[in-house]
Amino acid sequence: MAGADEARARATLVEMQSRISLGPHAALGIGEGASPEQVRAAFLTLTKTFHPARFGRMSPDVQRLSNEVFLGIKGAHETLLKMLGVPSRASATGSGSFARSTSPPPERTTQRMPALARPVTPPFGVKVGGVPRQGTPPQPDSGRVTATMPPVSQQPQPTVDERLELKRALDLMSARSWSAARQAMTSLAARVPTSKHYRALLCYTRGREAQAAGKGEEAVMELQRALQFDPELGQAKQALAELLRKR
Amino acid sequence: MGRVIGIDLGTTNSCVAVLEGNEPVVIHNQEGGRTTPSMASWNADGEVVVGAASKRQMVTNPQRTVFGVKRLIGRKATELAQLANRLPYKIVAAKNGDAWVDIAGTPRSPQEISAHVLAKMKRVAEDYLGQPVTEAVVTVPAYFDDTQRQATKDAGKIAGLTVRQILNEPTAAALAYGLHHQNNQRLAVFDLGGGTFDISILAIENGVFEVLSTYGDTALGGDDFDRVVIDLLADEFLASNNLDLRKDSVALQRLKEAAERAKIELSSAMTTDVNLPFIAAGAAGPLHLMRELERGQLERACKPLLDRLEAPCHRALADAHCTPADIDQVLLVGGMTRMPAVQERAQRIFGKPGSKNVNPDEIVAMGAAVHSGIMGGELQEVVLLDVTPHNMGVKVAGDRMSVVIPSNTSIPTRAKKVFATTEDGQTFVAIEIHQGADEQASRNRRIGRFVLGDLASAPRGRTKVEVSFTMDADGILEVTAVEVGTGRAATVTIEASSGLTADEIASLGMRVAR
Repeated sequence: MAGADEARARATLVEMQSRISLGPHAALGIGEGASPEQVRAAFLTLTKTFHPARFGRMSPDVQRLSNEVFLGIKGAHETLLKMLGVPSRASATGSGSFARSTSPPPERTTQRMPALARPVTPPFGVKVGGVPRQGTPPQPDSGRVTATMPPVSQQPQPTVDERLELKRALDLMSARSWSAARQAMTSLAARVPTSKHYRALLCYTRGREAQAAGKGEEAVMELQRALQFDPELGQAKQALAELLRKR
Repeated sequence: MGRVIGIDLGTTNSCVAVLEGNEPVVIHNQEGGRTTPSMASWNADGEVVVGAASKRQMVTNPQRTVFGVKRLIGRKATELAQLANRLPYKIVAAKNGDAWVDIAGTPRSPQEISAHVLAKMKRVAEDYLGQPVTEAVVTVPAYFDDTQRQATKDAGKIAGLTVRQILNEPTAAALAYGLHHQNNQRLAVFDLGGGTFDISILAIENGVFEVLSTYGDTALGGDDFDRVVIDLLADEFLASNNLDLRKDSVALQRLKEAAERAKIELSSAMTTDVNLPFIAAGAAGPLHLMRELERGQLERACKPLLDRLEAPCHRALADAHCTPADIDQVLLVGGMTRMPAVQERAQRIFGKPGSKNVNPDEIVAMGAAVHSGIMGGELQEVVLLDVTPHNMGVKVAGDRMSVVIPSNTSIPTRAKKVFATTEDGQTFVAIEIHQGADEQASRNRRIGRFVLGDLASAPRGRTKVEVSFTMDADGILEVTAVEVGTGRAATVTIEASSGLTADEIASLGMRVAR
């Protein structure tokens, strides 16, 4: 049973990771206009599911993955609160990031160089710096968080009708354009993270994409997950049955 | 999968708890006690006796009975010179300088001695559960550093336990308390145990326990209060009889027991009698130590210790951006918080009395059991966000400490800094990782070092190296250095060493867990 639990945990983490890659709103599963309270509530809910302690009895690579995923969730939370002008909590402040001279190799003579100020630009979701500690003057260049937002095409567009988007995705599925369909479903699922139907369709398209690429096992896993989200999803049942019959 | 047990491995007493139907339950030991003395004795025939049985022979077998080993674990002998003078057993320096205990000519590591206590707690749990136990959550003082934590993990390994998580004691107490008080609130956990003092400020929000700050003093606890009483009695005795009882290990052991008892009695009574007949032999025959001790005398003598409780509390409040008025509840944890003067001091700092409805001896083990339920998935609605208690940084030119992850940062966390070379044509940088609060790097504990070589030769300051620290939820640090521009990289995972090799741990394990 431990193996099955672990496979499920891994799949959940991988899925969360793909959500995080879509930007902070998608990561926390909230809309663009979410209030600070909504951001905080979403973060707390995700913390209960994704805190690494939940994976502490699993294999080291799952534990490692869970740390990465949780760092992403934390990063999204901090980025959004900062965008909303909410000061980060004491515990969430990072270091200032003025560059300093590194110590020279020990066998050489020490020569101190003036410190260089250079903002560090981490990839999205990684927290560096933050609000300076009390008593220290603000350092405009230190600890800048670079929120590299995903390209616009992946961003949920509130103006586009959701139903039209779904129809487009379904059309792409009929045309067996699995990659494009998967992209469309990814964006839909990110926009409405509460919809199990969308998640099921997303897994279905991923499964068919994997199948088309000849990755049978991955396809089976994705299709099974689609059915976990929506046990009535006919396409997924049919595709899974065919796949399993062929094996 | 088997059960995960929660162990509070205390300086004076240890306690084990397990989750039963989502409730932490403290397990009685074979002698019927809910806590077990953290003591081990080696008999003349080499047999090891643990717990209450060991405590009973403390007076007859003082040099081979070890108590308070938590104060030695992960420390260097040179750091403990003062403490060593006052212990009936002998501290020796191991080859690497670590503090070990000499027992009848055999040097033994604190990890091995702690392992005997952990193995006893493991057996207690196995007897109760009726099944083998191989995994545990073990608590340590929040202010323990990496080496002390790793040494505690190794002690678990020797005892046949995989330590799934090293949990901070005040945090554990908050988890146990908060399981039934989940309304959103701020807690101060004031934990004064046998050997250490910790203060943590936490916020409980929708079931998420978030540590806001933690401070402490790893060398302030009940043992120090005992020592004040010992000194008070021994100094008087020295003045009137010209004989120092502290020089005689049997007399010192009896004095220690009497001092601890008097201290405990003075928590409820205003006066107590110290009665030690035949404590020493003088020129004119046997000498006795008999006197009355008053609570006021104890409190006056302990004032310097009580004063040391203040600064960590104020720093913790400041770091959590809290005032005393923001704290909804003060939890008093650890046996020493039964002392009225300690309670008064906590009340003075936080402006409100401590919570009365927790058992200060058991709540930490119960919290460890709660955490085992968080890990096992039994408790879905609770989770803990803890912090790293120490600054982590890199040594830079001029022996300065450039902090990359400051203390009280919520973990897991990742932070980066860019550094520049200091010399023309410098082709490698040595990255030394330090832990501690001092601005001078060499005064902090060095926990790792690695070299990034083959850098492009360039004028000084031109070559830049980005150093990134990733600390996981278990406090394990991974450091990566990347040359900006070329992408040349080196990574090191800081494997804190407790001073024992894997082979030593394995062979000790064969002996302890037999």
